[in-house]
Amino acid sequence: MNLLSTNSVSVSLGHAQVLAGVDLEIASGEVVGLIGPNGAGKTTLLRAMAGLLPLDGGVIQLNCEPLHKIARKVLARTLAYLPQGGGSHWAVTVETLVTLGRLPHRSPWAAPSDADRAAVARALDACDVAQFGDRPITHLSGGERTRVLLARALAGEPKVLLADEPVAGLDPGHQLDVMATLRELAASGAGVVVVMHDLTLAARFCDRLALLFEKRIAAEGRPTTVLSADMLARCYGVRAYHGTANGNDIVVPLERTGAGGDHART
Amino acid sequence: MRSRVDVGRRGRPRSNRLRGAVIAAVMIAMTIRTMPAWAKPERIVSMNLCTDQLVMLLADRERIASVSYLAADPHASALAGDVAGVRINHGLAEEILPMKPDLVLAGAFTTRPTVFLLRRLGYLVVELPVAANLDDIRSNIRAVARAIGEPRRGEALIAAFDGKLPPQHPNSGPRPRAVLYWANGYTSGKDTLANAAVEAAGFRTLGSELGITGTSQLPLETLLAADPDVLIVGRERDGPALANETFRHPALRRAFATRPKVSVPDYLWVCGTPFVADAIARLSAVREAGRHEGRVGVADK
Amino acid sequence: MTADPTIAERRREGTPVLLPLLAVAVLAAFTASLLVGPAAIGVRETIDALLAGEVETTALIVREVRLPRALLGLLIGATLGLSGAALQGFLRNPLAEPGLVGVSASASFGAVLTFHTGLAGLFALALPLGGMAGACIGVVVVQALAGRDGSPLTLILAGIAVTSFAAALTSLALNLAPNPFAALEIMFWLMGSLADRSFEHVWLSAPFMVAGWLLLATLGRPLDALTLGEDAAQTLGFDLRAVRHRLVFGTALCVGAATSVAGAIGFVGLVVPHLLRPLVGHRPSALLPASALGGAVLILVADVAVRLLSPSRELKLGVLTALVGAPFFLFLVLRLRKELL
Repeated sequence: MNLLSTNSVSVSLGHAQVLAGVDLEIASGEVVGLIGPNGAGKTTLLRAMAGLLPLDGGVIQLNCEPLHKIARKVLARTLAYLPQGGGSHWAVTVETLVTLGRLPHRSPWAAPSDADRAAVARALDACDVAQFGDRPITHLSGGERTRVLLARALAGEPKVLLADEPVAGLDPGHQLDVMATLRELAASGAGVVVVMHDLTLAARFCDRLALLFEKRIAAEGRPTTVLSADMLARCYGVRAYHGTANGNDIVVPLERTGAGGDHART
Repeated sequence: MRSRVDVGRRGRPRSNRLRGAVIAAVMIAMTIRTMPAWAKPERIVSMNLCTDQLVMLLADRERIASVSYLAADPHASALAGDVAGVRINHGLAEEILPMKPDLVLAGAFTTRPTVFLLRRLGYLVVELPVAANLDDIRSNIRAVARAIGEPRRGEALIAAFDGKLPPQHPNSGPRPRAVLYWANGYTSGKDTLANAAVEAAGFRTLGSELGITGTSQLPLETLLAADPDVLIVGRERDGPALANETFRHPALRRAFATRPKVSVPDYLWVCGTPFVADAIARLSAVREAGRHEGRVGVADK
Repeated sequence: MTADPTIAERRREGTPVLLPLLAVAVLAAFTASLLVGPAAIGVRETIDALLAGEVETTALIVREVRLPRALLGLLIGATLGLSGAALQGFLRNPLAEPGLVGVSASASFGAVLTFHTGLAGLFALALPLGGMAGACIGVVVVQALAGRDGSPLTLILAGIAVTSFAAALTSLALNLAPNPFAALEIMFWLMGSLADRSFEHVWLSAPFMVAGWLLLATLGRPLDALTLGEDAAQTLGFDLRAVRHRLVFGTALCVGAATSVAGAIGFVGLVVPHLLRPLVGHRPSALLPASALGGAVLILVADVAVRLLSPSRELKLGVLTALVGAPFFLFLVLRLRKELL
């Protein structure tokens, strides 16, 4: 059964249309990679799915219910959104920050319950940041901060996680860790949508990929099909090396083809 | 400049003479001995410069519990020299309550919270409006006199005040045009005591002619263009002040090099007291001098 | 699992120590406020005056002059501290202060207008009522200007617009003052003071201030969530538009009432949250109660200082807070610059 679905969703920011008739479905237990060139509308689609943007047309459903009909609190308990390059405006401790992820679950005026604290501890652990618990977030490196913010999203134990470039700025080891964490979350029954640019990583950790190009989904399906040489040339304007290692696809962009990339940016 | 200060000093004996007349009138009134039966307040507190002076003119010193600190300021108060021995207040409830006043006199615009607090606590507070003309002076004297139970002294003071005023002569001779010019380039027009005093001395005022009500800024250009016959300035305060720069403007100095420039000390007319008559008398003298010399006036320098 | 379970406990201990400490400080400052004044009244006499029934001069001074003054200091200080913390939290800017949403300036103008028209001379409550009317109009205009979204930027812009306009109108009223005495009185009032306020002022302003506090007190969690940014806060279940409404109306109620009875008192709402923020681990929600207590301490102490420094001719409270606040503000700017470099 589909957890989250968008049906011919159109979105405009100001006067410019950013998404035109996007259909995408996310089932529970799967990780869907959202890829595409800069400016294709990936972040907009993610924000629309988080209920942050009004739709020009179409409908987004969570558990077969239109998003705008779901109560804020219920939506917040079900869905977590990890903004791109998010940070903390105040120098709170890592644990305080991650505990914010429990806000939708807490009753008014109550201190965090044992369940809350356990969830926070699990999230800290899963993102390998438990050792920073009482450090101010401002004292961490960029990569550490990114993991702390993911831990915040995980602490809410969401059924749907929408993560906007969660591996940007991470070293290779922590990139693998974060993707593995997302897989674990999916394995527990959640649906995960993750925006990313590393095609090899996308091919390896995502069940399906959706390639967004010029306001629409240009291709959608298994990573091997979506990441075809033709598609990469058309949408990214690159020629890539395709290979396999240990049964995993490897896609490494090699050079510009000169066609699609420029087109995509106009 | 020195001479202008001297003009202010010369005013003192006159005001003393006036007070002498007042006291004489009061003595006469006292001898008649028809005091009304109402209880006269015995611990009067005044919180305002203007009520300070009126109460000092009208009440016996032992009935005055306190006057405001401004009453002792020689620049602002005509009776600064007589304050010694009277307790000074700064318009604060905490100072006034221990004096247990049976009458508090206040101005209509000053120390608002204190006035309301005292009223709330059941004290009798009489507020005096700001005097804007000579009639207001009379009604203010009457109001204070009535409040302190000295109506006869009040009438005597009013009579003395009226006696000092120059006779009304609407058609007697020319009415030269005067301009009031305060620090920072302000002038006064209708509904101000200074304007009323200048007019009572037989002048027209530029403020009234320009339709100014109250006190507002007068551009130097307007002043010079109007070509007034007499310049009346407030007394320059001691010490450097940007406010006084306007008086030193070369254009102003050149324009009034040969025309009379009169300065009237603040304490004579900042409040609606009988001392305004002294200010009027002084201005009237300037006008008369001008008439006799066939000019509009003489420089008092 | 390597998470140290005591971390959470240690952090939670932070505020429970701070809040009682601040509460004690409030109590001490409140007591000092009752003991200081131009009339020399001893500690024993003050206590007797508070408890005894008879209406003597001493009792009158303590109960009707000093007590309302101290109460207003407490209420207004808490208002400025709380609203400053809430605004800084919402705008995520340590330089925000209650005056920013335009309420102080419009309340000042409303009050000045009652001076100007002479209404202030007719009855004691004309002035604070005028201030509140001004605050109401100001907040409606700010809300209308700020539009329907919950964006902090539009709120700041609308607040600045209303503040400048109200300040200009206040200057105009000063220019057109009926006489120099009225102008002087307006100037004095604008400087902010608690001198000789009565219980009438307390009864009039306290309900509005408390109502404002209640609205602002509900903002703890949304402000915490806003630490993560607007998008994340919204997906944590907070309606930012509703949050902004509560913030603006809560601030308008309490700051409007405070300005109406005491004039504009600056810098408290800026300085207090900033000083206390590190002590509550930078958490916006924890900062709210701490900053309210801290604001009360600061205003009460400043009001005592005003009476000690110039016992007879009182220095204005707003002048003192600005005298202390401005150098602090400078220090703040310098430190911020150092952090950025």
